[in-house]
Amino acid sequence: MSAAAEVRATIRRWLAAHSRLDVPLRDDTPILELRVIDSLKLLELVLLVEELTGKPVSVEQLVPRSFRDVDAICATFFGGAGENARDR
Amino acid sequence: VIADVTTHLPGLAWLPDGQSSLSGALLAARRSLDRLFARWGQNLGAAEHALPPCLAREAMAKCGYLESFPHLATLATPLAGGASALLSPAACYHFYVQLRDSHFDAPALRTACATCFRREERYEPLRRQWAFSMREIVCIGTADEVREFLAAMRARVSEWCTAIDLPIDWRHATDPFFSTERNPRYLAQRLTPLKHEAVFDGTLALGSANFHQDFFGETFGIGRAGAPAYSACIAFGLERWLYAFAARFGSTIERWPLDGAAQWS
Repeated sequence: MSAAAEVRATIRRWLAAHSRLDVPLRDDTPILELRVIDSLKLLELVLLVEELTGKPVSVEQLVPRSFRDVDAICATFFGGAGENARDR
Repeated sequence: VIADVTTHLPGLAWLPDGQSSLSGALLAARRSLDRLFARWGQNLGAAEHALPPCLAREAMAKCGYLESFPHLATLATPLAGGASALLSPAACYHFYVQLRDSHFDAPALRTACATCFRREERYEPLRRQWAFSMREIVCIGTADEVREFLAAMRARVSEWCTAIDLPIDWRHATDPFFSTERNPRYLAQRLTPLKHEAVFDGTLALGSANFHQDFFGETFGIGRAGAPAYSACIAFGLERWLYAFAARFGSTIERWPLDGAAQWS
């Protein structure tokens, strides 16, 4: 598995483990809009991204779409969408 | 340098500690604006309330206000002893506190105008005051009901501003948290479009549309359709609207486009 695909898989597993919803999640499920995680968990997700990138996340540079879904997180912080990248 | 529009505005008495006193046509204009905004809420079924000036510290600690915004807070403290309370920083908190442990079978709408208090580093007449008037309309319901309410209210504001030729932009915004570092609520506001402000002249927020998700429903045990209720409010800072009107339409208040406001109610 490529590094990008591993990152994607790690984020998927983390979300599945912490989801408040009883529905399967897709990579384009809007996790904040649908309240898949609450704001405390969002902070933990930011910490996970920092751990995976090895760099601090600059909150002031975040925009609403940065954490919209798994695809957006991968595109924003990992410079690409990994092996499941889709054209939109 | 453009002279401040409030310098020669009749009916405005400014107290440098951040308070103003209004009279005459300026006071009438504030009342007209308040009546108009209130009617927008009443047309959707919002019941008018007259709110008390203070909120219990316990309730405001419970919803995180004192932790998130201690720098804005003003307490009312009896000198003779007894519990202090928070002077309203916004009208809508009263509704969530009063509706604690209620369950609704239909969306609940409320509206009120309250004198609100927020400490700031500096004050400017009508633009930034320690004490100011806020008209709010609140909706408590399901996620869809609350989103529909916010969309309808934002559309109403935009339509009216276009009709009177008062340019505003809706902008994504965040609340002025005391500390933004690793603050989950600030982070949520940065990353989710929860708060939008109606901005005049690129700098002055005349109002805001706030989507609280189910935060107050969960915090205060307010239910709708068997789950924690979602809520939203739209808030109008009335003195700021007066400032915008003075900047846009001049200091002759009689010429302000408020006569036709009734047709927009």
